[in-house]
Parts: sequence; C-alpha cells; structure tokens
Amino acid sequence: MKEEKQSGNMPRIVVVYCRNAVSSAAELLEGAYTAKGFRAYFAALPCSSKIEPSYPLKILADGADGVLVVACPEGRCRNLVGNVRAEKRINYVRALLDKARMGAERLTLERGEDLTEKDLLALAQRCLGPLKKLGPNPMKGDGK
Amino acid sequence: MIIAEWKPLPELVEKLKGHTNVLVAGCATCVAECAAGGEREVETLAPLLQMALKKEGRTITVRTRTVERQCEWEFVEELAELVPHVDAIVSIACGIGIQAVAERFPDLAVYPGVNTTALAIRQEPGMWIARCAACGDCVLGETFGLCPVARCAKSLSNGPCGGTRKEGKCEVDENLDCVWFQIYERAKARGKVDQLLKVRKPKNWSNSRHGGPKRVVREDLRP
Repeated sequence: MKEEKQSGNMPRIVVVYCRNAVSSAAELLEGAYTAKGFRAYFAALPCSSKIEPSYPLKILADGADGVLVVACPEGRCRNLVGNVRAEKRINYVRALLDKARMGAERLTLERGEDLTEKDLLALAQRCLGPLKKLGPNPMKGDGK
Repeated sequence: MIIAEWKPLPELVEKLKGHTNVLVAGCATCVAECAAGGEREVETLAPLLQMALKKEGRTITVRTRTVERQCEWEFVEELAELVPHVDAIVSIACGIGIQAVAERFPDLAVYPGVNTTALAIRQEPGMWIARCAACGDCVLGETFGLCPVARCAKSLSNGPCGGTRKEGKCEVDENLDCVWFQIYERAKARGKVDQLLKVRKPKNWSNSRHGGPKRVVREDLRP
C-alpha cells in the first residue's frame, strides 16, 4: 500500500496517532500511504497528549488538507488523562482555525484502541466528507 | 508575573496589511508563564497568521524567535540578525518588551500581538488572577497580605462595600472572592480584627502612574 510516487491533487491527510491506540501486533505506521481518494501521512506519538497546538497548525500551513489525531478511548489512557488533555488542545486549535477562517473541520480527533493500519485509514477516510466541503487547503503550494 | 492575552486575530491581520516578511517575536519569561507569548505561542501564532492572511489572498513569510526576556537590551539584541529579512515585527511580549523592540529597531513596524492586562499569579493550571496593581504605595502590611487595590473591584482602602454576597463573593462578579471578606477572615484567624477598625487614610497616588511615567534611579548601580 505504501506508495512513493506523487498522487496529483488528492486530499492530503496527516494522521497523528497515539502508539498505544494501535494494535501491538501492528507495525508502527510511518510515512506516506495512498488510499482510495486521498493520501495519508502517518506519524506516531508516545501519547496523544504530546500534541502541541503548533503541530497541526504547522502541518496545515505546510499545505495538508486535514489533520487527524487518533487517541485512546476516554479512561483508557496509559498516562491517565493524556487523551483528555489532547482533546482540550484540539478543541482550542479548532477554535483558532475558525478564527483564521480555515475551518475547524480541518482538524479532527478520533478515538480507538487496538487499531490496525486498515482501521486508521478508515478513520482518515471519514475526514474526507467535511474536507471536501471546505475545498483544498489554500496553503497548498506555499508549503515547503 | 505580567500577564497578557492574544489580540483578536482579525486585528493582527489588518495590521499586517502590506507586509510580506514578518517576524513573530516571543519572550520566554512572564508571558511564557501565562501561555500568551512564549515559544509555544510564537510557534502557534506564526502558522495561524500565515493561514489567516492567505485566506485574505495575501502570502507572507513568517520567521519566529523567542528570546529570554524582551525587556532586557542584551536579549533584544538577538533579534538583530533577523531584522534585515523582515518588514514588520509582531511582538507577543508584554508592553515593556514590545516597546524595547520598537526602540531598538525604530525603522521597523512593530505591532503588539497581545494586550498586556495585569500583574498576576497562576491560581491553578490555566487560571491567572491579578494580585498587584503596581500602585506605588503598598498597603499589604495593613491588609494582612491581601491587596485591596488589585483585588477589590472598587479598589477600596476601607472595605468591604455594602455589596458583598452572602458567600463572600463580590457583587460585581459572583466568581470573584470579595477581598475585604478575605481580609476580615484572615484578621479574625489571627485575632486582630480590631486593626481593621482603624480608618486608612487616602493612599499616596503620587508614586503611582498618576504622577507621570515612573522612573527609579539608583546612583550606586549606575555606570
């Protein structure tokens, strides 16, 4: 599934996931994947709480169409409340995105556990509807 | 610490009209502690400004730098190497830092990215409350360590007013503790309520900002 070549104007979704939310048997996903109708870029975090407000904003300023943060279910964080803190930060950034008129929907939080590569791609697929309504990221082409 | 809050984004976007290379400058001291102007906030505001401006059809390059203290000339100097590459600076330090940057780089447009609001303490994570008004005539010795100037909505020297709520809250804001109620409680706990019966005379405001810009000179420290 991993693909190196360019995939034209397909929406780009960066999936930042807590490594504790994926199946222990699954390999840690890193890098770019092409799925049906979009490209996904995976990056693992030791806990979803490690996400700083600047991370999704920089990813979006670099031209990604959407950012999906995948956290563990509430009450199941290995660091107790890491995923609750992540949700608060994400809501804060979503409000900032609205103020910048970029659309809060460009940043999404999903929860899950024991997730496989296929599950993560399915979660990313769910972001496509709202992203299509927003249209391409105007920053596309400006990013590095 | 000095606390500040981000200015509304549309105000910053408006100010940056006509600029194409902008430096967002932070300060790693007070405004970092109150999560308004430290490195994290600089790195958050920079991409946000880029996107907000892009939505207006404007493309800008944003550089970022956070110095230890924008109120010290030695640290402000660290910005000098970036200045030739930018046509404006958005400083998210307190008003002192912003003015220091504007004074050091007078040919450059320097915009405040924050409103400086108070001298405050972090009461709990994510909550800061004003504790000092820098009034220049400290009365904490008479008020059991609680400042009526900064913490009373009416800055009363002889409180409480008649509006204290039953639960010891301020009539102006039900979430705000009446500081004069707290002063009374602390005096009672120390068996010194009688000290509160003394009428406190009008404060000496001449040592505050009402007497013009404050200036402190220590000849022993001057070159």
